[in-house]
Amino acid sequence: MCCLGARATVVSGVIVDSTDDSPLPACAVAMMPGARSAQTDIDGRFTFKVSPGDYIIKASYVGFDDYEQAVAIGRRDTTLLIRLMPKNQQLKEVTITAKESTGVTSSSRIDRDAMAHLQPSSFADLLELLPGNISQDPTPGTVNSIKLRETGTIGANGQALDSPDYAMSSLGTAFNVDGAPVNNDANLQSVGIESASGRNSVNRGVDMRTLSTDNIESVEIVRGIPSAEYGNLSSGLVNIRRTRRATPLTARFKADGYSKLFFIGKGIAVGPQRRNTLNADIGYLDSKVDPRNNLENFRRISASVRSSLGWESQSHLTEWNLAADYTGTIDNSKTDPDIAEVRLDEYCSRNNRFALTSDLSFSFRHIGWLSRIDFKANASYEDNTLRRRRQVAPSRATVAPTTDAPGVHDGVYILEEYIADFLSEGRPVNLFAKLGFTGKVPMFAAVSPAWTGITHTWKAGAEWTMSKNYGRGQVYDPMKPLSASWTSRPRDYSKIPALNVVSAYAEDALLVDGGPVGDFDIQAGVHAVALAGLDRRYDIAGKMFFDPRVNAVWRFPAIAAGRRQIEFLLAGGYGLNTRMPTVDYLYPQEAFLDLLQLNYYDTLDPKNHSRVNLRTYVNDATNYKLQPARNHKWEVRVGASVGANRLSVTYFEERMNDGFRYSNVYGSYEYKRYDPSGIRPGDLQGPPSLDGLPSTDEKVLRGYRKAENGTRIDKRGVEFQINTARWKPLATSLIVTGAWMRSRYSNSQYLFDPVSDVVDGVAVSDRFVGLYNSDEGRVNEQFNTNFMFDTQIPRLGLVFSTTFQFMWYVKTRRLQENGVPDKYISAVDGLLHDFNGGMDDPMLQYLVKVYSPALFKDYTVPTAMYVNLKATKNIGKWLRVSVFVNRILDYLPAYKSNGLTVRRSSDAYFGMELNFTL
Amino acid sequence: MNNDIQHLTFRLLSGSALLIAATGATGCTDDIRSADPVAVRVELDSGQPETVPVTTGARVEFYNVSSGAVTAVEAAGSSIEAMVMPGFYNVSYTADTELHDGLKGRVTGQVQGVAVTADGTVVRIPTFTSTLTDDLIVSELYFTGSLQSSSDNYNGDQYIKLYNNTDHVVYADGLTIFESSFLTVEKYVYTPDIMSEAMTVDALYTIPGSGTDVPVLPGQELLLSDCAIDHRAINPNSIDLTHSDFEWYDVSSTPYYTDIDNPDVPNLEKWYCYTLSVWHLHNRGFKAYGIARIPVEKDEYLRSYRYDYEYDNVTQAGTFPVSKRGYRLDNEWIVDLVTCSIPAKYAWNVSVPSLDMGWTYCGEIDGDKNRYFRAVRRAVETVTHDGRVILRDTNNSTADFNPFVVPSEVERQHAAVDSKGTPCTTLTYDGVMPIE
Amino acid sequence: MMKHLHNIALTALALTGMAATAQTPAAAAHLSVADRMLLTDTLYAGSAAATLANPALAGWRHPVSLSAVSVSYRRNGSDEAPVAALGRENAFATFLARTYIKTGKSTITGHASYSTGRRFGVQLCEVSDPQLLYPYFTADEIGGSMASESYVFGGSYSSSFHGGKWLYGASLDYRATQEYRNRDPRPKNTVGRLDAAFGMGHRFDRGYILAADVRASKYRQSNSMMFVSELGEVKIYHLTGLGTDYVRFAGTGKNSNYSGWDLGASLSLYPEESGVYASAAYDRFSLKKILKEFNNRPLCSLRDHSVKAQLGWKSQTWIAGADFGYVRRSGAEHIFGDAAGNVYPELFALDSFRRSSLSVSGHGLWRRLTQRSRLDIALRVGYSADREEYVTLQPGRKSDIRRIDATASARWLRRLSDRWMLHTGADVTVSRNVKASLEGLDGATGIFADGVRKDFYWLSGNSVEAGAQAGADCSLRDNRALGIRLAYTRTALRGSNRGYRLAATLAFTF
Repeated sequence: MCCLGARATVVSGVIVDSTDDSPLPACAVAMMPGARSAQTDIDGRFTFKVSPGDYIIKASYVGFDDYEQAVAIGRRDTTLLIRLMPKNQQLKEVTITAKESTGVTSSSRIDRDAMAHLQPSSFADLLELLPGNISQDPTPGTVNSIKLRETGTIGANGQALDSPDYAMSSLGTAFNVDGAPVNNDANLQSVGIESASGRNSVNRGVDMRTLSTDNIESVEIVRGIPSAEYGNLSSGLVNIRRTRRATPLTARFKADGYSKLFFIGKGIAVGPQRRNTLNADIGYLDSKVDPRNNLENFRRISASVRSSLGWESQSHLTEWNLAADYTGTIDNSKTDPDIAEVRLDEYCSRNNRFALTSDLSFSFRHIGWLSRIDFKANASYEDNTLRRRRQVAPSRATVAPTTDAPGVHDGVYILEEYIADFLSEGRPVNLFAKLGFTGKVPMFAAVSPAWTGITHTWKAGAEWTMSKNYGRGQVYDPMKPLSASWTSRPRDYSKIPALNVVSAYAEDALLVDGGPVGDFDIQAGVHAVALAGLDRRYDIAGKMFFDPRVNAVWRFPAIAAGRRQIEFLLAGGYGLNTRMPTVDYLYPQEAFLDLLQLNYYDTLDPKNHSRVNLRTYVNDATNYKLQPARNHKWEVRVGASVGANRLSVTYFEERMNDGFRYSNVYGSYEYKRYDPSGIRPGDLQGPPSLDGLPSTDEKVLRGYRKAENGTRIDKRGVEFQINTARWKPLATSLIVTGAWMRSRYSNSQYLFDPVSDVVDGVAVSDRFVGLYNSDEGRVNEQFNTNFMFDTQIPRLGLVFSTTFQFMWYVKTRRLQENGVPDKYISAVDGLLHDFNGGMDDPMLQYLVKVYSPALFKDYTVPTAMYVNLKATKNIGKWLRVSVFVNRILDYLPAYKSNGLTVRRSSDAYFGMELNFTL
Repeated sequence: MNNDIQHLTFRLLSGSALLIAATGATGCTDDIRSADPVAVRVELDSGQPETVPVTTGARVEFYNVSSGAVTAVEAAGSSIEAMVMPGFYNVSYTADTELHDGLKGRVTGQVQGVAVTADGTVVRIPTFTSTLTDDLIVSELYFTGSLQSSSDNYNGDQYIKLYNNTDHVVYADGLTIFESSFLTVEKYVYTPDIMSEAMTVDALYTIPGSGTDVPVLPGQELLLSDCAIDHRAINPNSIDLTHSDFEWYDVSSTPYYTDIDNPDVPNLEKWYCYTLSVWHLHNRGFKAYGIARIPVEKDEYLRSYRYDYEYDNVTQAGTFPVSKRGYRLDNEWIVDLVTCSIPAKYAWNVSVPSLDMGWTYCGEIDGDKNRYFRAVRRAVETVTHDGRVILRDTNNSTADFNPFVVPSEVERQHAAVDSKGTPCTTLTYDGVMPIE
Repeated sequence: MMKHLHNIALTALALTGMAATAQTPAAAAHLSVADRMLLTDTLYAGSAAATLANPALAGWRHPVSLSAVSVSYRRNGSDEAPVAALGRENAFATFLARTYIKTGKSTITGHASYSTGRRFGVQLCEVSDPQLLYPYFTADEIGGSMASESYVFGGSYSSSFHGGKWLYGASLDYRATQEYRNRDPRPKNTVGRLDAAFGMGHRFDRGYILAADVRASKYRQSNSMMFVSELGEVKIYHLTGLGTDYVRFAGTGKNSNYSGWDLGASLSLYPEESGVYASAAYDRFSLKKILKEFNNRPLCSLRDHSVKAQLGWKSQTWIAGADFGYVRRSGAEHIFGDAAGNVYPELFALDSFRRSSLSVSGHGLWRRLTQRSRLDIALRVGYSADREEYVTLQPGRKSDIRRIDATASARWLRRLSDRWMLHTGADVTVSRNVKASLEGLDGATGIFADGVRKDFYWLSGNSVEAGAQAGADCSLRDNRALGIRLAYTRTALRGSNRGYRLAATLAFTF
């Protein structure tokens, strides 16, 4: 242990924290060579006895950088002062919320640190950081559709309600990953009649469940008016940039009530000045709707290899970013012990998406007006199979049509049980190419000294996307339909033509340095979009739609107040956003209609002597007058900052009344009804012939679905965000975000609405269907504020955030409906007649619908408060443990509504994750 | 550690503890009553004060709705005392009596939903003296239907059986089978309230005949079925109903849900039915079924006995008045009534106690998958020397019917009793008493 | 050399003596992880655990800092389940990160754990935390095994001011559990319990500390039953104690919700070195069971008054003390009137269930600590009495079980070399039943009455338990150690019913 030879020199010293010189007790200190190690006492002091010579003294302490110093020890006792620097990685403050942009349009930027603290399972969990949103539980069983600046459709008692009529909100939001759009327009995966079910992602835009967040560097969600560069969108824009830098090998394991997630990724830098980087990662998520339900689960495998290469030459700098991605989602069922032995019921949907993205850009140093040329290209191929096998037992003797052709034919009685085998195979292929030019032009430099300079940054370019589905489509045996009331027929997707969207844009960003008046930033541009190669019969074939977009911000000169700077800005913008219809809206399947002419079931010999005779009509459900959806957006924003405290308040309004939806169209159809009562079962050799039977000619009204511009969505609201400086004693800063929003969801065209009355044995809807000039929808309102206390203690490597999320109220009101039809369609001639009081026929009285006034009253859900806790703790240099509990505490006062006391309760959603950085 | 040390330490520490509690603890204490019995007095009210029928074996039963405990008390005069635990009770009175010509009759009365909260609560029970019906009675209801091998429900093979319990021939002509509109599992305040004079019905099918066309001999039964076909062609686990006496047939306009008419079996005359397509007996057994003799012609009845009633559906989103259409059937016309419900959700009887004081069931809980292949059958009172069966008829479905038993047609045809197709091996009079 | 060794031993000893003074761990110079493991008490600190529960006294629980990241597997069970609701067998794997850091004048503790496992053979109870919710379970005839996942985390911070005269401390703990089953009947329970405590203390000059704390906790559990089989659903019952159930709502109420809160306070006296230690704590806990379908009305509610006290004498080498605990639980059933339009008006609540459990015990501990080893020997003798009563039925139902038990345990730690340390330990427990009576269930039939009789049969029996544990830790460079520990206990319950407990832990201490 201690040296025995010449008298030893006593080396003592003290180790302190360099920030406030406070002693660091129990800090490990060692002297090499000789491997003497010790720990400092309470006052941070240590002593060694060494023989004179050259030594290296080392000290290490939790949360501080390792300290290494060469020291020469002579004969005299020496004392040392060692000052340890807190670990730089923990020292700098981490932003764990969305940063409100101070640029021209209102958008939220979420960086890697905020995502790490949020511990998301998929992109959907990031929306909690947008103003006006609160944390939601994951819904792995249904399509996660994004909605920006709106309350979303709500039911009568204030609960969220999914309605395909308002899928525009998510269809209209464009997702760009590394510059290339994620295109879902050619997806036709659905199970026929289950089109409204939550699992069907047709016409709903991007399903956020399929987007993993672990390889995202930063994402910018443009809530305001996007730059003219981006088109074919009606709501907002999500720009995702993925990590392209050297990173240690990171591995993430997450477990929560719904899912288990695993991710591993590595980034290396190669080449001269380590400029070229190569990143590779793989992630797996297995989530369940309900852990007890063995059938419904959602599994996602995502793998990505990305590189960014760069060359220098004196005239220009070339950058080339390449990426190859695979995303596989399996939404399938194993067998459930309680079901398997009784009946076969399997649902399996498998989606595989392969994508290649290239982004080649040339930045010119010496060409004045042109600074950059950018060529982006993307090709993606998807192989989606949806398999449904089910043992079906008709509860009564049901009838199945046998042909696709119109006219009269014999159907077939389905008597015994059978196994229905349904396959929907879609192979959407999406291609994308975009050429963009940007440049800077300084102008009027010498006009007046005050105006020191106006610079123009201009952008222009063209874009082309193609989406085509090559799948075999819906394949099944019409004799063995999935359910008794099956009305459609098999369909081959590959026969559907491709959808080509071409667009061009030009935009000028004017930066004016106004000196004393402050400086101005004006961005004005236009985006033109059209469908190329569309059949002439469509109104919009070859028509170009122009989207003007203007954003401006006026930054006032900073005013000094005490030792803090006060800055103030005023911004605003107007933009028109056009969204082209998808493949499903432009090329729907024909509508088949089967009317029963003879229904004779032979009691003695049902198999051979029964006969079903049907008359089939085939309608072309294509709407050639379909227009694109166009959303008018404008906003005004005020921003202010006092020292490190920042405030921003935005008022916005959006108008759209030509969103896409399917609505019913009615027509009159003739058929012959035979009376089988005269047939004697005994004396039949085969099925009875039709000609001998008494029959009556009937006319009846039937409807089918057609794509229309029938959805109106109006949005209005105020968003605000306040960031305060960190308060030293508690190392805590407060971030307040919130929004008041009012959204109106309704139809924008007249409505056919059949009534369900039966008048002495005849259904009114077979004879007359009213056409109502009425608003069917709701106006919803909500006001939310989130107070997030973000506490960071670098010395312990501990960051935790306590968020108080207040939903002050949610109010919904059903729009007043007009029960008296303007016109009605009659089965006699299939034409529209004026209703004028319904004098033409006593049955018309039934078309007048009576609404109880209670239906149109406001329904308000009062204040609800939830407390969320998230914490991350570093252990050593290579492990980080994070925990989160949403709704760890809640305040849900009972409230009286219509005489009933409504009591509310909530469940916590909790989880934990380990992050290794090796 | 004997008791006194225990008490000492307890008192010492609770003293300090309470000191602390006073400072910190808060908390609301609801009004919690201690569980000591209270006195209840029952007064019988037979409506005609002067003729109090002489009764033997009179009993008053207090059924505690919350805990299921039953407190029975022998009843002497017209007012009875008892000590019961505070709670929410159904109180019923039953006694036998001798009628004028030696016929055995019963005096019954019931009050549902009595809150016994304080000493000296008084419960007034209106009593009725009922005589044996001298007409056909309902002997079996098979409403659950069967299961296919894929365990899907097949409800085409429902049927109702009537029985001549008297000792003389009875003509079934003009007898109407009806179904109650109200559900026994949901109690609403229906306005206008006509329950004391008439029942509200939403399906009426009448047996055709001039008056003497459909004789039913004593001890014989009448089989009325939804679809008089051999259902085994569609569902091998089902039964053959081609030998039905009558079937009810509905013309349906929707091609995918059709009814089938067997031309060899006469159809019941359809007076009225609420559904657009095909009428089925309520598959989970939430309604009351019965037979009545309506002295009025069909058209006149359909015109002047319409009964539009309203009730408030109170939800948190608002009170929505619901208006519905049915028909009123006067209590005097009703020959026999069977009330069905389920133990888990029973709320109330949909008729005056004199018509039916109890209820029977197939299945313990709502949507009980074990209820299929089961029926409710009237229990046997006695079997006469010449083999004629006398069924029990005390206008109380709980006492009169055997719940959850194998249907008679399934027994006779040795048909399947479960979705796997195991054939039935038992043969009984009433689902319980085997036929030797 | 000997002097040097002696010096370290003295400091170690002094240290333990001074363990009480968090402020000045004196010459805690160069304590290796092995030293710190040697000094961190388990049995010794455990004896005065109730008194040291106050967060302000966190610094006195252990003399030195110690943190560990561990992965462990625990499994216990018996041939037949002594309590049907707790299941026949439990098996859990746990990842645990625990830290206890004493720096300067403050002490910081933290823990985070994720455990996943399964409870086998659970009968007559479909809810989680059955001990807390007794007797108001949701139950059915079948039962089965329950998959269970728990997320637990928490921490505390304590420090002093006025030159160490005044102490303060706060702690926050959260436990979240999710339990479910993949075969019919399928319950899914989500549990959340948040505990918070704040304490203050004052150090008197004669080496004593008087401290008081206030505690609050919020408990929430929601459970829902799901049936998938096409062949049939099972009837669900809402139990109300000693084999009875709420008949009116039997078969319905698949979604229920338990919500409750707890408020408590405690007073403690603790000697810095040696002397008398004492504490008294009172807690009031109340819980409501709510059926979501019936307009969220409470079906049953229970209230607990619990008093705990501890008195003992502590010195460097031995401890002697007595513990006292009394919990009085009363349960009420809410009675509803006529349900027109599915609105259930409440009439009143009926006080129907009472349970009182008393436990009194005395214990002694002797310890020998040297620089290379530590030996702890402890003995405990206890008496417990559990009385239950269900009063609304006539005749009422009563159960009364009283038992005496004695436990002897020993822990021996030895440092074989600079790198290796050996842990060994043994425990023996003997439990004798002194009185057991069950009245009022003679005529009762049904699965729940049988369940009460079966539980009573097992709880009124005698039992003997013997267990051993062993482990080794290897010190690695820069003050870290990797160790493994195995423990096994064998239990002989009534008749031929045999039980076992085994635990294996891999720990990385630093």
